[in-house]
Amino acid sequence: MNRIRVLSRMDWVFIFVGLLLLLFILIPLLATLFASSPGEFAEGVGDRGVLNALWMTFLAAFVATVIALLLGVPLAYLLARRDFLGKNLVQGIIDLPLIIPHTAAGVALLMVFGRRGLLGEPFASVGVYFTQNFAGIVIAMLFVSLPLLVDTARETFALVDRRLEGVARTLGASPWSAFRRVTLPLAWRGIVAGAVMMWARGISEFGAVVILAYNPKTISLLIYERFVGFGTDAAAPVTALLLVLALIILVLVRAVLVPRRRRERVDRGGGR
Amino acid sequence: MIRLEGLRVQAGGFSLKIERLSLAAGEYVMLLGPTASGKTVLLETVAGLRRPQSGRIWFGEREVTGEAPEKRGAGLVYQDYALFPHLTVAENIGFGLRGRRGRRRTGGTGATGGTAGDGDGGDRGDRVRALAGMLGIDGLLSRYPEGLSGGEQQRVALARALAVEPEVLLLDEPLSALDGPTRLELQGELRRVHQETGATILHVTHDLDEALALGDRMAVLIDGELRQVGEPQVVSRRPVDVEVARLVGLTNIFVVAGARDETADRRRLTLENGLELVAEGKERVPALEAFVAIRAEEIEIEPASGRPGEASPESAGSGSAERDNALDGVVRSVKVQSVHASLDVEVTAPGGVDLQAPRFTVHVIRPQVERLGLAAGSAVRLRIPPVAVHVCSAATDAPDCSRMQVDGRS
Repeated sequence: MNRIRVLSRMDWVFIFVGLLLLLFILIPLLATLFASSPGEFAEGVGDRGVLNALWMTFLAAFVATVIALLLGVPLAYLLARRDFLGKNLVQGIIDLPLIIPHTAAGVALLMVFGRRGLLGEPFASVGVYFTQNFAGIVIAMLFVSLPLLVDTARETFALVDRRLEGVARTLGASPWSAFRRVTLPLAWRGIVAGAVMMWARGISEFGAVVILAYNPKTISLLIYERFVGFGTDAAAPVTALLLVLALIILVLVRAVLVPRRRRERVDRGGGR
Repeated sequence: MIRLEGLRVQAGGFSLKIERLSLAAGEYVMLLGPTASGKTVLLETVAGLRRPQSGRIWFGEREVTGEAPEKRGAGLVYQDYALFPHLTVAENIGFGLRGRRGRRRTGGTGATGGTAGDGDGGDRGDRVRALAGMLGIDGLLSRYPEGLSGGEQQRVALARALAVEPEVLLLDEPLSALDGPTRLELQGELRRVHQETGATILHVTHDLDEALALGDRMAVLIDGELRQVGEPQVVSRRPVDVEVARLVGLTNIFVVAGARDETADRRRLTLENGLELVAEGKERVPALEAFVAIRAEEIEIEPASGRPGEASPESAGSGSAERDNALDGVVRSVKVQSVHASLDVEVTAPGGVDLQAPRFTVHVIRPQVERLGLAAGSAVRLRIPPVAVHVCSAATDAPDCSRMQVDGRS
């Protein structure tokens, strides 16, 4: 049978090369995890400042994700379903935050949301500020991580057979109703996966946040500050905590994504 | 009644042109066309999922050209069923029944299930069960589409479309994806559903047998244009042009070199390959690029020296042999299929000049092959009844083919 195949020399080379990359990621992570003793870990993590920063970071990333869900999912649907002039341009703009340095993104955002910025100034006159506060963190996270959600949602929508929507329409469903009763139930897994990824990406954001809101401190800023002030030993316990959390998040994302793939395969096989 | 007028639909690089097509209430119309001839585009346009560039669509007295699909009431069934994978069979069938209490309904053409009774009074569950019962899928109501067979899925798709009592039921190659026995079974089911519900049906297919089995009428669509509309039997025997002829399975197609009228309904044709055939029928012979097309199963075959009692009187009077379109030839190959056998017969050209010996495909039912002792190398005599010699043109772009077919002499 095909299944029990002897590995070719090429396979061995590829495995070796891939393993190198894997170790490149794994060894620093493990080193951080084992750098601090359990006692140091508990002490570093039990710190009130750490827990506050952690909670605030999670919340800000969550708020950014909710905003992106409300504004990004409709856009993702349009990108997946409709052809329009300048669609590539729109797609490019959405993906732009992925490729620009995040400090550059922070500077650009400051031009708009800073106290003398395009939007910042009129809002500042009524006492609403977007820098050095929670709102600034949300804006920074939203800007840099929204491509993850929009792109994942777009791909998911594209996977939903558009004829299902057509059939729903012929059965009397309005476009809204077809979206709610057919498209969304079939696409939600992908959208949720995209949202989790965006959330995780938001948590890890540093560059844009440091420019827009140095305070209150997000977890990534906290790590940076401890490192600059007290060296690796001080930064290690918080880093380790973050790594564990990140791992849990990734496992959750897989758990959401994998059933979807399996189902697609069955659908395709049982189709004819 | 469904009526299409001057319809132009642009879909990608493809354009569909329908000058006129109408379906009477309760009529079962087959739309026959090769792959990529625009059949699906036409259905989606009628359903309202595509907007035509120009033209009008009428459902009864109501013009629906600009109407959204959810307002139209056209039920659509795709070849691969397009069931909602996240809903159970019952939820699929009941999908269109939700919140449609106040929906406008027009009498007569609505497809109320016979066994469903008055779906109006009963609640949604009753209606779903009644439809499932009519289609024999009542045991599957709580299942998901994923695990169902093709035939079962197709029944669910059919029940789902029928549930909303559509003004017209649009079927896009509903049987093509099914295996042989299931296809025949579903064919019977479609006929029964049509009888029981009185639904108006437009059914797309590329299978002539399906069209013959189900259709009250048949419309032939090639390259985005309607070439011919008529009774399936008539279209299959009297295609207007060579492309339609090929589509409806006419294998013996020859170029006509000259024609001479003998009587109003009878003419003598000289073919390019040198053969002379007598044709009977009302079709006029096109001045340019005329063809004859002969159905393989309408050609009679017998062994050349098989039965002297029959063969001799004809060979005596050559005139009568010509009137019968009798041709002598040799069987080159015999291809036996499930029901019939297909024979490749090389005919001796008249005058003995054997430059391009014409070949005919002849279909006989299988037992006949043994009974007549036909095999490769057998000398045979073919007889082509003059009514089976059908004259058609190269390709029509005549907008109104249905008229051409009725009074071919216009």
